[in-house]
Amino acid sequence: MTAPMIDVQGLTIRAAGRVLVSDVSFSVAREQTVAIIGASGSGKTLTARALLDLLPTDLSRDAASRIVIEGRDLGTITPAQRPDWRRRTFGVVPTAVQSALDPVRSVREQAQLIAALTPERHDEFEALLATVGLAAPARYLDRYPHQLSGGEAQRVGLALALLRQPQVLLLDELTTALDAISRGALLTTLRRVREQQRTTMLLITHDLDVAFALADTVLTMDAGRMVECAASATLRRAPQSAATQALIAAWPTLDAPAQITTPTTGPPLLRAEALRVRFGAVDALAATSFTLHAGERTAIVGPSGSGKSTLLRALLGLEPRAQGAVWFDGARLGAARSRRWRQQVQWLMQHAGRSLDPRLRVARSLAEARAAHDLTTTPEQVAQSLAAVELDPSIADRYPHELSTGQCQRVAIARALALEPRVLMLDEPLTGLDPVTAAGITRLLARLHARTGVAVVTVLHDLAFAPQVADRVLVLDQGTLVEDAPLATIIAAPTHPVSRQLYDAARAATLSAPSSA
Amino acid sequence: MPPDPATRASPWRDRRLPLGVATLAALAIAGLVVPLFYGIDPNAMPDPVGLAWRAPSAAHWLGTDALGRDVLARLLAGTRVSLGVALLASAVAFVVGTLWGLVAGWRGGIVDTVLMGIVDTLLAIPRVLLLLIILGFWEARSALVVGVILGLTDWMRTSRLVRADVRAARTAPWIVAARAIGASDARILRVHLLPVVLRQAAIAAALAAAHALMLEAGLAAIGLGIAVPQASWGTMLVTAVTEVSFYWWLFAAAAVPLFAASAACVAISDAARTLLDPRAR
Repeated sequence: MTAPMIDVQGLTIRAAGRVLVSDVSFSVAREQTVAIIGASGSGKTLTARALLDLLPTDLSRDAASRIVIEGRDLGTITPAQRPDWRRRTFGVVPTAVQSALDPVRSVREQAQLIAALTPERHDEFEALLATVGLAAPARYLDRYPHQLSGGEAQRVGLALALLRQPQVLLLDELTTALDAISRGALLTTLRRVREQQRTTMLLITHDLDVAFALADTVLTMDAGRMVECAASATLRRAPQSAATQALIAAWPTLDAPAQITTPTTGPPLLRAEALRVRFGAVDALAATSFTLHAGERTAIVGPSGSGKSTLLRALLGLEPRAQGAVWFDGARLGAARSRRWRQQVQWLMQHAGRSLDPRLRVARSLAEARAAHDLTTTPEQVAQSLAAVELDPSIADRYPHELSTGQCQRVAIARALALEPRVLMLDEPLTGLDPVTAAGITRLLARLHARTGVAVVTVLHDLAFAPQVADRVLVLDQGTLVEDAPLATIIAAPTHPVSRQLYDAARAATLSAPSSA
Repeated sequence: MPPDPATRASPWRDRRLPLGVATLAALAIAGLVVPLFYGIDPNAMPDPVGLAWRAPSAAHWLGTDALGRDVLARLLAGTRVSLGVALLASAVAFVVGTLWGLVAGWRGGIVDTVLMGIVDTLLAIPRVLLLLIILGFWEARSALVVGVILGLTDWMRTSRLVRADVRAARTAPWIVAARAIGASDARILRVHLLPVVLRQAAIAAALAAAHALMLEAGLAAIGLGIAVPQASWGTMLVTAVTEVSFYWWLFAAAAVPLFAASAACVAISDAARTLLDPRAR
């Protein structure tokens, strides 16, 4: 048997006396794919950065840990040799590729920086762009990163990483920001890349579907420790560790038990009438009409760029280019929403944690929202609000940057509910969360809905999460409302092709049916 | 990952801040309190000829100047005046600059264009030239006039910094969220934006104080500073500078505190830069 491509023994990483990664050992054979899964903060990315010898400067790797790559101990490579060694050995696609690409250089110029593009190499790069799924690659060569969509940037990043024919391809949360349909396409691409390029792949992901679909071996990390390492199929069939079991249990399935159907009788609470948003000559949102009843739970689902967030912003009166009418509680709303209305309809933007003022402590943030509506807030009320979203009341005097993403999300929910709204609108509340945290949020939303009876509108790019947060689904495609039906109908018999596609993508991503790699 | 509480920056761990504050506090006490116990009138000239140019002695701790006035008494009075002028100038620049920048940045559009056009025009004129023109209107300039005028010629930088911060922050997610929650403009400005801009404004204010100290001396040198016989570090320096090779203590008496106070202001400004970063708290 040949020596493994990567061999890690007893990797321990410390920061200021705290152990962040503890005694991790694994090896990756040539042309094998290994996935590291685990909740956020479990040490996945740190482990990968240790392989590259690119740990943040305030962290240190224990001298006893040994990392051998291609038979070379990391310790024997001098600092001067490292940049060149990294370039030859690794192709890296980091999280949030779009911000990792050079904003002032076109795709072609970035490729030139990585490898001198002789005419042959140039053709090779175009072929690579085609391989990673960018049809008509010539169109992309002169684009700048801001002219690429999230999915396109991901693919360009992948092509750039492959350009030097690296020994190891390191992909960090490649699918985290993609909608279900683009994610499915990227998976197909990665399979093709693996076959054609015969690279060794290391995936860092909290997307179990990606891990199981691509990896030969899956390694679970939890709180800095490696808790399980087994062949992909084995791990999926019979997970041994509690952490893997929790991750798998938290993964959404379309078969989630149907919730109690909410009432849709009586006059509607919110009604949109021919709501339309034009960006120049393009309809970001074509004339859209729908109603929402008090206490109803609705999901707005569609691929990226289908106008979901635009619809939400138009409803909220945050979109100056919106035309058409919105009725609330029987009254037509003006362009400027009243303060009273703003109290009744609460909105959580995407990455809701960022909607907290970084200079205000949690308690102050909650009190501020209430003070905007002339409500006073006692410390007991703050504690109650935090308890309602299942947070420890002691975080009341923390700043947002001292909290995890999931905690920030919960604080934002607590702040919205502190105003006792009648409608809660959430824009992609699960984006960027690991499955365990995401499942915690969806469970919380279900409980809060049951207790307060607030109507909930949730924007999702993945139908798989809909059963947990909605009884009814609106499907948007290219700014048009193409289907408005109860969840059960969408799951049993989606009529529109896009609903069908979303359903298939969600179905493919569920872990119920093992797919062949 | 929440930072370890033990590694959080304490305001006093940064040595520049305590040093700067202590220096200014010591000078302020010297200017305000010590004169109550040191009973010599800074403008008294009991014997202009006989008492002139005395070296430091038990009767006159820092000696006397060309007109036989007690240097220590003048220094204490001058400290009060110079610090007062700097404080006033810095406060005027701070308030005017912050409000100007807040309004321009928040309202945007034509308001922004006009307000910032005025700033750019004023910045295009050298400050000393501006001071010469304005201060020329006064025959006898009091410390109050000099302080206000120094402030009114130094708020433009502050307003640009504040405006840039507001422009950047007004689309920040937490500001958009505050709007969606239903907070009024006044509330957003006061609660969410003011703390953002205060950092730059405070840094600029501390620097403005340092500039005002130096300019007060500079204006005194060209005869447009605080009118004599009022003592200030600037007026004392100017009268001492011609005789510095013979009577160096006259010069040092004003130069040392001027230097110390300016350095203290710069140190406080530097410390404010790090301390007011929310992530360092």
